[in-house]
This record gives sequence, structure tokens and C-alpha cells, in this order.
Amino acid sequence: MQNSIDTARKVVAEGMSGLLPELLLAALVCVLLLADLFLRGVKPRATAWIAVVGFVACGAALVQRYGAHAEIFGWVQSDGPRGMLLNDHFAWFFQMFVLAAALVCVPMAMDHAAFRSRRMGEFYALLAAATLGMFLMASSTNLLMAYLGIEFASMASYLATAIDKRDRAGSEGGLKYVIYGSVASGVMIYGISLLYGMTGSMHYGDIARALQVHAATEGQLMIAAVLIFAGFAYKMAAFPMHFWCPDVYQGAPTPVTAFLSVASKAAGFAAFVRFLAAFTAHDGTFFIGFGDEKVPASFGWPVIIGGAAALSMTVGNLGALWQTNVKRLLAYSSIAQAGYLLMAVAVYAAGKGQPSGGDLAPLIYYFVAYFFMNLGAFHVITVIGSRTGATSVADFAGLGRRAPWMAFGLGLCLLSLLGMPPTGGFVGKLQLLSAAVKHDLLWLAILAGINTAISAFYYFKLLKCMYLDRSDAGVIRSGAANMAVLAVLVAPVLILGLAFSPIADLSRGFGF
Amino acid sequence: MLEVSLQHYLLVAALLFAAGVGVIISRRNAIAVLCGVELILNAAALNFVAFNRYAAPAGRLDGQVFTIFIIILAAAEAAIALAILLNLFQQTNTVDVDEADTMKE
Amino acid sequence: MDFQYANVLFGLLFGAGFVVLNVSIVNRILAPKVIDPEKTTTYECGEPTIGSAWVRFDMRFYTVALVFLVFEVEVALLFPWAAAYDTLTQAGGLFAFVEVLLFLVILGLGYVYVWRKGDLDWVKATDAQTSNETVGVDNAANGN
Repeated sequence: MQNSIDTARKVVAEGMSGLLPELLLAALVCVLLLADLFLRGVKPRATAWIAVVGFVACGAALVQRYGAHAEIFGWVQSDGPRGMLLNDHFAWFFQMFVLAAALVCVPMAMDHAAFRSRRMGEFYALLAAATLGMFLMASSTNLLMAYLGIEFASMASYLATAIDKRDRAGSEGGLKYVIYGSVASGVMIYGISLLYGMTGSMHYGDIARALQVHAATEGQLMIAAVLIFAGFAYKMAAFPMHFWCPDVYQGAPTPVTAFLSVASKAAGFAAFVRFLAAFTAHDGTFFIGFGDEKVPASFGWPVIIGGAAALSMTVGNLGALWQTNVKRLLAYSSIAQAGYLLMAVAVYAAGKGQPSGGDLAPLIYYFVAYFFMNLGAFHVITVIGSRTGATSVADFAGLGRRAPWMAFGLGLCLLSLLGMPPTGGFVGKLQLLSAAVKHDLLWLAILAGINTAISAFYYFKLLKCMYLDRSDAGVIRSGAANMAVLAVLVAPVLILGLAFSPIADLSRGFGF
Repeated sequence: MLEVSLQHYLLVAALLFAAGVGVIISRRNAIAVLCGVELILNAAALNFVAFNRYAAPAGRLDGQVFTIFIIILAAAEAAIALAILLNLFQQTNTVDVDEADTMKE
Repeated sequence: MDFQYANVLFGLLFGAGFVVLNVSIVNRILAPKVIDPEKTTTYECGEPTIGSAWVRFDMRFYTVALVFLVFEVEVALLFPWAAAYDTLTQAGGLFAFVEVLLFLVILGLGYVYVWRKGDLDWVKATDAQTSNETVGVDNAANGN
């Protein structure tokens, strides 16, 4: 007994030392809440600066952790240690990604019309809490931890969506989000319970080992896998769990929408890829449910994910065609983007079954591009929206004259989302397509091509409105700070499209 | 005498899950939908406890621990959902999810 | 084995028969039959009601109920800890105690939050008075 307690203390002590960024975020949540309660006299922006300092400190701690490879908060079984969280390069990338998105959302929130005059400590506390949940999602190696991370991130996001109590659209969006979210997480947890029954563990390594000795039939696995996939798809805003997306993105305050569309999606993908890796074991000799043929396929995952990817793109792009609200249009666009990203995951799953192993570089690269182009687009919408109240596509008429730099930034981001050269989106999509063709997913690549053509309609609709439609409205002053943020977000879109090879090389380092 | 085995637990859980899904699909009242979610969560919790008893390695309590977390998360989720719902109710006087679609065009 | 269960079965049948005999048969034979309008009405304890019982409850009940719900389930986490506390302290000193203390402090933070926000007051300050409003139980995300 003494021995096992000592082990537990050691595990906790080791875990805590490797957990500094997460601990800082947790402390930040508490500090922000208290600051909001007890600092009555201070200026509205004080809490925003506390949040910035907290995020930067967390980022510094995260930089310190770069290169670590440690599985923490574990227990020891006869055949080796197990853990809850795995800090490796993959987790590091997505944690940095989420943290950067949170940091970018702070100035956006400071600029947002409904927030400007308030202290908003709660909002930043929720932002930090969601970030913490996403950190845990990105590094989870245990279904329990993945589920807790998803729930933690989700709950903070629900409240952030409905934070403006007087705004009916926000409340509606929040209600939709929480209702669909609890259904998705319920379905997912039922799937987890079935998988736990088949394998006797929730640790990804144990699951992989149990599946290798044929712990379950393909049919049973299929049911559990599809149920669990529903939960992840919800966080990724991908088919079949995409219904919530348009209403939530439209109803939520724009900074929240930006954060959800980038960080929440990335964390969902990170958690899902980790889970997927458990299904497709390490050495490529993983045969399951395919009888004597020994087809080296990882149990139809490429087909399941490829199908979800194809449907996400199609549903997203077709839905976007008729949208007149800009945020709703970008919501459908982000469903379609989830489809492209899922394509990268399908390629990874297909590669996992082959001797060469899975390649996550296209996914990582596309995410880097997606970060800048999507946040850039939402930044412009926040700035323009908070100054003119613009919500519909028609409100952006003449923006090319009224706010030339903002219009240029938004235009570049839209071209990148569409996948036109010379932007990061183009290079990212090119990598995706070539990887898909290489791994015998030609049909998926063709579908993605057709979808890109469809999406041109609505991206160009907005572009045409900005540059060709006339408007008598006056010039919009955006402010130097907003211009700086715009430059930080938009310049990389161009860099990623022109000088892509160093980043593409770098992106290869963040796989498993 | 009938021995209660793993299959019986799983059957009950599957029925609970099916009932939950049925409620979610058929009811438009947000609170009823949340009740359905609660049924699904309890189905999963029952599965976890049963699997922990019958299928897990000796000495491991993963399933039991997960069940405790399910209880906690169900309460937290219900609290958040009801808080948002109360807020919407104060504005619209309805808890019907189909009514909350003023954004669609 | 089978015989013992037969005993139980017999007991059940006897008990059920006894109740049925007394309530429905003996009662009918012995009881006096006086019909009275008051007697035929549905039995309600207490005063006759005024108006419908289906009134809408005050919103503040729900707020308090939500706060209660969140704090109540913490016990689910404390039970396993309490059950293992003896062994944990014998082997590890204050380790287990400090761990839970930390949890309770964070939970207490949620309590302070609700208190300061005035969600426990029956007559809550209106939105105009509190410069910064909130969704009542934000601590749900942070308390757990």
C-alpha cells in the first residue's frame, strides 16, 4: 500500500512539473473571475490586459516545454506505465495553435461593439477555460481525459456564445449549441462505454493492443467507432454533426465565433487524430475484421472519414451558396473547410495501414494556413461590424473604397479559403490533393476539386460586393491597433503561399 | 434461478439509450430533450459499471471512475443548459427549440 | 434451496390474500353504508385550493436550484475520497487532504462568485444596478 501511494505521489509530482502551461491557464481562470468581482473601480480594459499577460505567460511556459516527450498522470501496470496526457510535438503544435487563437481573440473582443464598455472578466475567464480544455484535448491519451477535455472546452464555449444576455440571437445560438452538444457528447460517451467493454481499458495504447488480438468483431467496432466519431465530429463541425454550426456562428459574438471556428475545430481534430492512431496501430501490421485476405486496412477508417469529409464539403459549400449573412456564410464555409481537413485525416488513416506510415504534414500545414485566413476574415468582420453594424453581405458594398486595407485583407483571406494562388490556402489544398491521390483516394480528391469550384461562387459573391458594388457610405476608420492585428494575420497568408517550403518542412516535425 | 449477467446490464443500457434517442428525436421541448440526454448518459454509466465488473482487468476501476465523472458532467451540463434556457425564456417566453430559429433566412 | 423459496412464495401469497380479504371483502360486509356528497369527493389533505395549482414559479427558484445542483454533485467526487481517506493518510500523510482542499478551494471560488453576483439574494439587484451582468451559474464550467 505504502508503495502504491508513493508511486501516486511521484506520478503527481512529475505530472505537475510537466503541466505548467495548464496550471497557469487554470490560475488565469480564477484570477480573471476574481478580478471581475473585486476590482470594481478599474477600467474596462484591465481584465483584457490581465488575460493577455496570462496567455503570454502560458505561451512562455509552453515554449519551454517544446521537445518534451512525456506521458504524465499515469499508473504502472505489470507491462509498463500508462498515462492520461502525452506531451509531444503533436500536442505542442495544437496547444500553441489554440493559445495563439485565444490571444488573437482578446483584441477582437476589446473591439467588439457589445463588449467595449464592460469589464468582461467573465468572458476572458471563459476564453481561458475553453483554452485549457482544448489543451487537454490535444494531449489526451486516454478516452476519459479526451472526454473531460471536450466537455470542459464545450461548456466554456456554450457560455461564451450566450454571454450577451440581452442579445436574443446569442441566446438562441447558445441554446442550440448546448442542446446539440449534450446530445453529441451523450452519444459519444455511449460509444466509449462500448469500446471500453471490448478492450477493457480506455488508454489508447491498451486499446491498440487489445484490438490487435481481435478483441472484437468488425461490426461491434464499427458501432462504437461511429458513435465516438459523432462526438469528435461535433467539435470539428463536420458532417454528421454540423447542424449547430450556422446558428451558433451567427448568434455568437464575432470574437467567440472566430475562436470556435479555429481553436475548437483544431482541438477536435487533434483529439480525433490521437484516438484514430489507437485504432491504427504503430507497426502497420494491424489487420482486423478482414478475414484471411489480410488487407492492411485500418478497419475501413479511410472510407468512414473520407465519406464524412466528402459530405462535409458538399453540405457546407451548397449551404453557403444562398446565405446573405456574412457570419452564417463563413459558418457554412467552415463546415466545408472541416471537410478538407478531414480529407487530410482520411489520407493519414489510409497511410497508417501501409508500410510508409501515416503522414500528418498536410493536415498541419493546412491548419497553419487556416489559422491565419479564417481569423483574418473574422477580424475584418468584427472591426467593420462594430463600426457600421454590418451583418449581411450587402452591408459590405463598396468596402474596397471605404476601408481599403480591411477590404484587401478580407479579400486575401477569402481567396485563401477558396484555395487560389498565391495564398497559403492554395498550397495547403495542393498538398492535401496530392496526398489524397497518392493514397488511392482519387475520388475524394476529385470531389474536393468540384467543391472548390462550387465554393468560388459564394466567396466571389462577397468579393464582388466589396469591390464592384457602389455605396455612398463614408470612410471607415479602423484604428492603428486593428490594422496591426490585420497585418499580423494577413501577411502570413501571403508568406505561406509564396515561401512555403520552410514551413512545409517544419510541418513534418509535428506528427507522431 | 436466473443469474444476472453482463448481457442483462447491457440490454437495460441499450434500452435506456434507445429511449433517450427516441425522446430526443420526438420532443421539441428543450427540457424534454435534456431529459433524453440524461437517459443516454445513464445508459453509458450503466455500461461502464457493468463492464468494469465483468470485462476490466482485476484491480482497475476505470469504469467506476468514469461513471462518477459522468454524473458530475451531467449536472454541470444540465446547469449550463438550463441557465441559457432561462435566459432565452425571459426574452421569448418559450422553451420550444423549434421556436428558437429567428436567424434562419 | 427450492424449498426455501417456496416458503417465501407461500408467505407472499398469504400476505397478499390477507390484504385482499380484509380490504375488499370483510370491509364490504362490516362497514356501514352512509352516502354523503362530501364523502364521495376526492380526498385532499388541508384546505380546499384557491385557483389552479399550475402556476408558474418565480424564476428565482430556478436560479437557486441551478446553483444547488452544481454544488450538490461535488459530493460524488468526495465520496470515493472519503472512503479511501484512512489508507491514504496512513501511507501518505497530508497528501490526500491537500489535494481535496485544493478542489474545495476552487469550488469555494465559485461560491464566492455566486454570492458576490447576488444570485443568492432573494431580491436581486437589477441589471441596471450591476454594471456587469452574467448568466448566473457561470461557475458550472469552472467549479467542475
